[in-house]
Amino acid sequence: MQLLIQFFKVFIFVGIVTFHNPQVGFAATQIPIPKSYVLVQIHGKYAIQTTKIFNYKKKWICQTEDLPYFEAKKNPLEEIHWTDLKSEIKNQHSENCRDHVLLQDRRTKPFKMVTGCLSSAEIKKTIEEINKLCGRF
Amino acid sequence: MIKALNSLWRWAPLLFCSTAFTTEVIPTESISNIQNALEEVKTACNAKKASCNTASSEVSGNPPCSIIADSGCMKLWNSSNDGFLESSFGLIQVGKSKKSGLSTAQRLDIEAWINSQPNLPKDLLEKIKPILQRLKLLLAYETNTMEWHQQMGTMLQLLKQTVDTVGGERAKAALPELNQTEDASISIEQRNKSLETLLDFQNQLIRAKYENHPNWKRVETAFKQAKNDLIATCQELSIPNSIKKKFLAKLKSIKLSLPFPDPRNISAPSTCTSTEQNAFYFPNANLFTVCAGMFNTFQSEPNLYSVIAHELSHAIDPEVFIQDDYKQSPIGQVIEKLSSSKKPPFSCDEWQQLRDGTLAPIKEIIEPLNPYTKLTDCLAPPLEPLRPFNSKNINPISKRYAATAINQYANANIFSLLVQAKTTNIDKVSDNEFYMRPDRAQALMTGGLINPQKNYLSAIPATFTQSLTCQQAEQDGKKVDFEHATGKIRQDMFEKAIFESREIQQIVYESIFSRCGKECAGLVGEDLSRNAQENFADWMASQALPHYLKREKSLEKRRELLSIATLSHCNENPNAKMIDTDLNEIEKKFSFDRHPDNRIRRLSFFTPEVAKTVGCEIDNEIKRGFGECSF
Repeated sequence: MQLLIQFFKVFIFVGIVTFHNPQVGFAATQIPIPKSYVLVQIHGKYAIQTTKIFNYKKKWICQTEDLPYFEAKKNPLEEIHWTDLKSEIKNQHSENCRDHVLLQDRRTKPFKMVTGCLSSAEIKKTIEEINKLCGRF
Repeated sequence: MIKALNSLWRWAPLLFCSTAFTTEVIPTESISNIQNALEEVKTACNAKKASCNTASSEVSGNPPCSIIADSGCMKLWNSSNDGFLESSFGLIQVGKSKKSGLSTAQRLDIEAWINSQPNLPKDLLEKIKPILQRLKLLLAYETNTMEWHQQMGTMLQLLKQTVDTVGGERAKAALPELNQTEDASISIEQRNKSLETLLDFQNQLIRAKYENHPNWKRVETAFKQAKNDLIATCQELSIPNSIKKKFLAKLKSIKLSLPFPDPRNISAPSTCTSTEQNAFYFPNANLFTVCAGMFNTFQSEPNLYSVIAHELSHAIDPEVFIQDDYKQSPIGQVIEKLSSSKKPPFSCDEWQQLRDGTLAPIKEIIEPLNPYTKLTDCLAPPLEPLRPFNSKNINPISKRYAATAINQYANANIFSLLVQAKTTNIDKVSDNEFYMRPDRAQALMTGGLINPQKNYLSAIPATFTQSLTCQQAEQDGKKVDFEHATGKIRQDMFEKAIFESREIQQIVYESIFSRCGKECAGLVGEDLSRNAQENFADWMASQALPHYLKREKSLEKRRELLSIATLSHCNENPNAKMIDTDLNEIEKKFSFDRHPDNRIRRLSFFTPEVAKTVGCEIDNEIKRGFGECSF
């Protein structure tokens, strides 16, 4: 009887684990490596934060140093208004800057690029939106 | 030189008793360091025309300090460790999980969420418990598949959404009026209250996750040690007593805060609460924080110690110290009074007196003398001789900066908003809540919060309102103020008030620049100053370090401790391996980036006192840093 109870305990435990095991039923698809992407980098005091944004099978994917594959709910690139960013940087005194930002569209030739300071309003807004959409909460 | 090479091979493996010199994984910067040492030996041998015996058994003496400086990074980023390092001083986990590629910072933040459940508010816990359970399972069954990452991403998004929803509900509950009235009729004070409720909720979550977390407790311990050591260091500095007294008072009053993304407190970026590897000092509140990404991944006291000693040093860095002087000055006090006022704080007679005195244009700007000059000249020598620091050069820059500041308000129509008594919404005319209320107008520019912190540097809406209130002109034979003026006279008054605001903002900049002189960060790009703030903070941290090292009795341990203390200055960026570090160091001199090259930062920790404490020789590599600078 004790053995039977033990058997059921193990059966139930295995059943729960199998049910909850996220691997079950997964076809193992490797995460994609982007060939061309939009690069967003913040050069901080101690480390560089990098986000690569690319399109894969009609989905917008973000790759960060924290999450190698993150499906964004909507296209994060819609948050990058290149013209506004460029005009803001023109009027900015970037020498008084703590964290430097690099935005680079590596899908175009030559690369489209904006560099500036994280503290400037338009750049801060852009980075915050990209972070939100790319899983940096 | 022979000694240097011999010591190099002899001492480096001892530092961590392991295979730190696996050549295929040594970062380029370290290879170039070793190549330089070899080159030095070759030159020395040629000069002596003698055979060079490099057998380590025959050599006694101290290793070159640069070997200690590089050894930690080489060990941390060799192929077997790949960003993970365990030593007697704790654990460093800046790498990624081999199973899933998830960063350790991300993993530890998720674990902190899971472990915070007993401390979380009940309404939130009810909703996120199943999400946290799912995250726990995902961490237990990590794989590097797209499907696993999809699930992880979905759960993280769901967690964020649920937290936002509960936060939104709290904010809404703080405004019962919201259910009865239209959104547009909610006053800015009510919105402020709602925003504060949301911030309180976010702060509560950070406390739940980290207040009693062992990794945060380690920060608190390192903070106490670094603060005491910096105070002791300050007492040893060869500076005038009056300045020493100010340094000590400032260091003693500095406080540590959890990384709250709250403008009323420390205003850390939201990523600082989770995975960002950074630390910040906030001069306005004399507070500093270490981000969760840093204290979670660097679970090692010496590393936290050096980061904290750096941040604490910002409290007395050249710019912050001089800004403190400005804040206490009559002009700083006037600007602070204006910026925190609901209505013009001065009578028109008082205002006129201020315009003739404290707020009068500065007649002549001359370069100030300050106690830092010798040190900062050494820490951050300018590339080219600086332009003369005088009115001719400073006035146009101050004017341009003031115009840029005014531009932000003009773009947002803040000045017009301040002078309209009524506002029209479709067909409904109502009182304008911004009418002559600079505090409310300013809140529009800073995310909706009213006066979250004291502001000594700018009070544009308040200056404008004060100026306009005190204006008078003659119209139809009568003296009229702005409220009673009409047509062209009214327009002229309005324009004059904006002009006066710009003029006062220019005087504020001139007043600051005439205090900081060659130490003004804002004048670096103008060839009028050089930025030594970050180098100064590194230098002060390196001065405090011997106090910390000396607590360790064994020489071997001291060396290990020192190499670990500088590990946050390793260059783990794979792209950096493609860059020639010698050239990168030169290139950095042309960059406005305040932080010098990572390796230079590591080398600069080796002051003569540090070298003595760990028994190493200051070699030519070390001399590339600024460890030998002094006050």
